[in-house]
Amino acid sequence: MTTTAELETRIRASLRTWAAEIDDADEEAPTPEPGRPAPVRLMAVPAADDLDESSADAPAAGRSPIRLLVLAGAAAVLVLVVAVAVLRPPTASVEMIDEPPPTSVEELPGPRAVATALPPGFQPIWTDEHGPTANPAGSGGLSQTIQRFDVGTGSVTVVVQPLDDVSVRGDASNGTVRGQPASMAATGDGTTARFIWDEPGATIQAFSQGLDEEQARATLDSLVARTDDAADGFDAPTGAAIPVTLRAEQVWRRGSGSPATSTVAYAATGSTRWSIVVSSHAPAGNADLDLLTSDVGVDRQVIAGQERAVVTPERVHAGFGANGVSLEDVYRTVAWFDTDGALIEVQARDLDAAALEAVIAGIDRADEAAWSALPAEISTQVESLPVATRSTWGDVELTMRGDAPSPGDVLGQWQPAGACLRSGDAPARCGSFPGGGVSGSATVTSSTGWFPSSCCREAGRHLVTVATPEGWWLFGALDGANDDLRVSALGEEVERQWVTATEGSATTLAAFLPLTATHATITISYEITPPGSDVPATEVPQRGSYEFTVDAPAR
Amino acid sequence: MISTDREPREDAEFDEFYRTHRVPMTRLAVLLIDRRSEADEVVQEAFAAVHQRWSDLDTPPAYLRRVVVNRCHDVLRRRRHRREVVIEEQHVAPPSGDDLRDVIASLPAKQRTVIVLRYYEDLSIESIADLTGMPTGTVKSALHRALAQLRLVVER
Repeated sequence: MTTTAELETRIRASLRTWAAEIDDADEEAPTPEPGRPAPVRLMAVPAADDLDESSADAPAAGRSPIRLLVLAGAAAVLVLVVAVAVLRPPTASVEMIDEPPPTSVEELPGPRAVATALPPGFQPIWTDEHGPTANPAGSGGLSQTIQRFDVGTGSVTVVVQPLDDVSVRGDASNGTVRGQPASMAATGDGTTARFIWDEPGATIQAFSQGLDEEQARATLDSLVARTDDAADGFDAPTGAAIPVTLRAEQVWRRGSGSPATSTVAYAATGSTRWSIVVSSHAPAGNADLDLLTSDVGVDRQVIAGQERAVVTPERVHAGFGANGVSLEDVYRTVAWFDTDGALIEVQARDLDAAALEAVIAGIDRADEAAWSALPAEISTQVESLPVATRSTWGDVELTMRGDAPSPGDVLGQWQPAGACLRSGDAPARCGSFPGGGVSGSATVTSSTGWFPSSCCREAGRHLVTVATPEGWWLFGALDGANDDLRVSALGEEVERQWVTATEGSATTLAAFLPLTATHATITISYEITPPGSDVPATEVPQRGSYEFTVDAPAR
Repeated sequence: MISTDREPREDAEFDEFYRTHRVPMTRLAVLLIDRRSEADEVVQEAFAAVHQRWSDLDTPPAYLRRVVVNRCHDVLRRRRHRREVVIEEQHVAPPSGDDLRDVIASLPAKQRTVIVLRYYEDLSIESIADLTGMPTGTVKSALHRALAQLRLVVER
């Protein structure tokens, strides 16, 4: 049995050995000229954007209550609906592709909101929608409790999140809270403090405002746990030196899952970089504006005639661990509750205050007709982009849109802007890859339930996956005839399900992978023999694999 | 664009900063995203970001590391499917001969990031959470899952 300490020692040694092998960095690096800054490449500087976008699809702050409330749900696994009753037999044939299996798209009862007052030239670029999930113990599930207590003229907000049963070694303790080692940090002005500690099965963060450290610790110590499970929350104590009252709370019981969510993103004409994202979340728990505005950097402001929670990134980042970074170009988040309790959230960037207010004033709940019109608008925009690659099988055609890969991208990254799927004479259905990533998703909801989902990696092999509610179609256009692809799904090799057709030097292949579970891991591994001796082996990936983890919301 | 109207003293300081931190940051980036070319690009961009804000930064090394880590996240995110499906790319590099390293390289992005920051950068759970924007519970969960994977390798 290896102890944790021994394991950690091994990991450290392995990483340091690995890092030490990266010893030629100086040789490839540009040499600064004397007296001049190092010749870093002048390009779009990620700086402030990185601080936020890279950590999540969320706006701004890592620990804003809005994010805590909303984005765990938004990041939840989505969309692919698995047919339970009817599965096609796993035989590969052209017919399977020419005649896609009948599908049904799960009803998504969540609230839908759209922007009806967009700046000139803006249009939708993608939508996303998922029903409630019931996997809070898994990644992406939403399971947390937030409570705000008034403490005299100050307040304490407690956020309880689940923690794996096995404790990981604690860090940075400075004092205790509720008898547990806790870390504590305070804002520079001393008005707000954050405490973090663990209790059995839970990790808890608390934010105090308007209290000194001693008062905050005393208040947290005095809270009365409702049950042995911290996720059930706390009651205010009686007889405390400073009166404590529970002002607002949102309690998610373990197992309650994430609320249904819909999202639509908008961009300026010709761009797939979003400027506005409107998300709607079904009512859950008992959240209110008090909770949304409990954290540092989240303010309550009247915008377009209604009080709303506004994340102010500068303040969030300047709160704990301030580094003086200017964050003028990160996106803003404004959130509020609709009359039915649905949480509406607007993220916006590159908009001035007046434009943002106009957008917010025009946010409206969408009826079925308004929502159904969005895919067509998105399709039209994506279809206007040039075709970069094309995969066909039978009369099914899948095109990747955007700038064609340049020769220099052969072993590098190509960033398609979108994908279109056409079957027979039916109109193409298209979706955009909003991140511009080399892999992305283009969710194309339709009556037949096709979901072009990802594409395109490495050295001329263009792998395209198309998810349907029943499973996956995989289209591959492989340059070179010696590729040996092996596919496994749910731990079973499904190599025989591949069908191939060769035209010239290119091999097109397709496969259908039925899914029978709400969670599946599909691994596609390949071994490649360079097709000719004139191709240096070092320039051709010898082997590799793609792994798809698929989670479907429970029915 | 990067301003060029800085004082020579600031440029000299930045040069020294660049020389001191470039290789360590490149190593960190390679540990996070494997590919040297991408790591170099990430680090260059990070230095560009630091340079642009050089006179405003209280702790340039911390900011540099934050940008490197977040930029690596960007790279990893571009490699994976957005939302519905996660593609965890197994890289094409040949086996290193170190089973532990190979498994670290194959970990999902979040777990890999946490492992590298915890055991290469020696950051605390809270620091990792601050750096990456993950809740501390998420960091701990990712670390726990990654350690479980790595333990299997060590004990097999």
